[in-house]
Amino acid sequence: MTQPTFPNGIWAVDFEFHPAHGQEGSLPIPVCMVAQELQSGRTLRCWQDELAAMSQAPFPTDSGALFVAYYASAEFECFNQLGWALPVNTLDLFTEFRWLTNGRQLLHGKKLLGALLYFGLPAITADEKDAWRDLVLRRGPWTDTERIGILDYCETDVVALANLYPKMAPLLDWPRALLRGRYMQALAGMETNGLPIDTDMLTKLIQHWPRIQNRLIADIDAEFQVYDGHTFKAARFAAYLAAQGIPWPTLPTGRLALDDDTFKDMAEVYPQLSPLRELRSTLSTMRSLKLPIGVDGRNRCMLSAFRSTTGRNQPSTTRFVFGLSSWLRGLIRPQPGSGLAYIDWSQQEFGIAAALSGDSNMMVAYNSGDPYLAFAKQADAVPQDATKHTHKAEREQFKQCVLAVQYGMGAESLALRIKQPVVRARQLLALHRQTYRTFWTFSDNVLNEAVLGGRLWTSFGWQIHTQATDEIKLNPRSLCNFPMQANGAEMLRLACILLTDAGIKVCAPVHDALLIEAPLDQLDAAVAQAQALMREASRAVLNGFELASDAKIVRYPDRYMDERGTAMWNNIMVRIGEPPYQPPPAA
Amino acid sequence: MTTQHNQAAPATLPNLEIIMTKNQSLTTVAPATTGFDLSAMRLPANYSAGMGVKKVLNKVPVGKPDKTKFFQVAVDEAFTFRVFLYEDKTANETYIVLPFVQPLLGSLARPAQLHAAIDRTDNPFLIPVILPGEDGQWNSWHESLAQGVEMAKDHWVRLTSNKSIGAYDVNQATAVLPEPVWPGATMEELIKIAFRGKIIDSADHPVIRALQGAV
Repeated sequence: MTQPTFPNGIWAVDFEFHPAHGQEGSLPIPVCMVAQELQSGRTLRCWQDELAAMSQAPFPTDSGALFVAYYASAEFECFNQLGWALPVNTLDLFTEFRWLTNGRQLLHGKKLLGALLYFGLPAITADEKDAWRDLVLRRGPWTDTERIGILDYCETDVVALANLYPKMAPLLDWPRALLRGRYMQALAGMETNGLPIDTDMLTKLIQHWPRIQNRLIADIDAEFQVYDGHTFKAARFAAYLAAQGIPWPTLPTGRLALDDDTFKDMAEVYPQLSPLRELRSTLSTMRSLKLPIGVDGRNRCMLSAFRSTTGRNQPSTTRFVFGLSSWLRGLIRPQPGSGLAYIDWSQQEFGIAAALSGDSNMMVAYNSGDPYLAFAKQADAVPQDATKHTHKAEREQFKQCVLAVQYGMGAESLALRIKQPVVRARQLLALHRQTYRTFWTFSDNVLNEAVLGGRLWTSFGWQIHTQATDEIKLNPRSLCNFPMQANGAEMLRLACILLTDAGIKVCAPVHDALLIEAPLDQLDAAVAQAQALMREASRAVLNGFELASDAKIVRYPDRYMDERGTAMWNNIMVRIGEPPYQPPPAA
Repeated sequence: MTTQHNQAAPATLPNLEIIMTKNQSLTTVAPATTGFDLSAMRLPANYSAGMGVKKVLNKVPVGKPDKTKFFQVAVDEAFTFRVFLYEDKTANETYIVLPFVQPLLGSLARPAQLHAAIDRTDNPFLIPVILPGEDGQWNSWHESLAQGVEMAKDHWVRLTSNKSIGAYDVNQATAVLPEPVWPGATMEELIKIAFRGKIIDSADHPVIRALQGAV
């Protein structure tokens, strides 16, 4: 589509800000803003006192104007703080630089500096930027000279945007670029809201950790004898595995694969390893715990939109509470009078695969409400009147088969997961191919497109370049799964827009889920509205096919709890003299 | 280019940090509607629609189907073909013998009917059914194979050998399984692929020369 015109101007904007009280996780305090209209060159330089006196942005933000920024959620958080209406049209050159170059090797990274260098434009050095950022973070008071310096520094980023815009604008996918810009507004809302944390419990946990840590290691390691102090010893673990007769995956070097994913997979097959896996994950998490929590007790961090190749958010695993060990999610607790709801699409990947491929068998299975059992019925492996209670084991095998296809697993890995011979896993995978032929043709076509066309895309235009080079090797498994993952991300972004537009307080996106918050007397209505909007988002992405969702509701004084982490949470609570987690009675 | 500088802050202004932190419950002031015509913006997921990629049939196995494999046989008579076959059991290879060289091979070249068949993953193959000899006698294995092939025209079947009766058992799938998707190849094309380089078409063909002890 051709580039639209904006009669009320194209405004490149940048804010400088610091967290309130200098505490990471607190809301931003705008220090200054520079805005430049790119056609006339008119520039506005506003210091914080002037910004606070304004009831709206000092430039047009209506449908006739375009707002341009680089990673715009930071600017919109400042808008939110100032109480300004958000612009109708946003072009985020960060999301568009990611869109332009996704899948390609970038020599200078994804930040503004990298984008400028990519287009051969001048840029100030990272060291210079850091010096000015440090001055802003000092929170004042600033001398007049420092103020001018900060405004000048802020203006350098605006000038950079002014240089970048004409290079990028002709290359963009315009209607959809603005949709991505709109998402950055929703993201700003979520980054502003943050997640309510039980800070008293966190403080207690941190205070007691040195003591707990030693006892925890001693207690759990009594069974394994693989720790030396706080250090996990691979050789001792190898000896344990040999003594127990447990085969363990190895790296090409011959060493044991000790990453958490391997531990997770192996703990499913050998449940006796679960406590050890939990311990390793917990020690690692607590070593690097840097949860930014604002003065209002909310965890806020950059949600890192569009960071993954599929376009999903990729927040830091140490700064975002959902990125920590699952038991630490118990720290999420609604504030008095409020409740939370974790809402995720049911079997999202399966549903997306069904809709995009147009496989009627798969769509029927999804719409049955239990695609795994429906698959078993379609393959005639269970009677048509089977239920998840009468055929639990069979359903589990077909479920694992569906997941194995989604993850691109082979028969050996599936066999390990279902604890069956490899031949059974082969049978299941063959049944999937036989039952969902249209899907498999679609999957082959995805790979053909990637290899021959050099690009894959989603319903709303997120793309990945798929030309193999000496540095970039194509992974057929990831490419075939790209439409499911990336359209899932697209669906989530759209839902975030719809929910925030509807005035629902969204605290965070979590993979294919949203965490929302509402006063207790409005929580049920908010959940129903959110689920309706999530259905609408799925219809928009999947051309009318609707995905259902599940909601897990937490009402104050209950806390959020991930069932995978309940045992460790309770283990820790006992050690610090707190009552264990009690799930609320079923409604 | 016009630049509007606003650097100096009057000393009497209130502390912005205090104002801001008091307003922490501010909610996002979003545009009134999403404002996008989503249905017009949606791109189709028609991957490789314009790529002209098609799966090329480059291998068609010949033989009795594996005992673990369900298969169907084409109903159309056009997908059968009568030939003489020579089976090299040492190399596990089957050759078509053209009629005019058949006398050179004698009883080693046996009359057979080729049937186009397909397995549950849509891979086509050819089943040769050895026909009765000149005396009208039919080996019970071959006869039961022919029966299995006939049944496979209407059902998914699987053949297993039953040594105690000297014949194949025919196992019919009871489930309602999806119909196969046949490749768009003719019988002639299937035979050409299956017997590529395996047609004995002259008296000095290496197979005949080997059987004559000439090499």
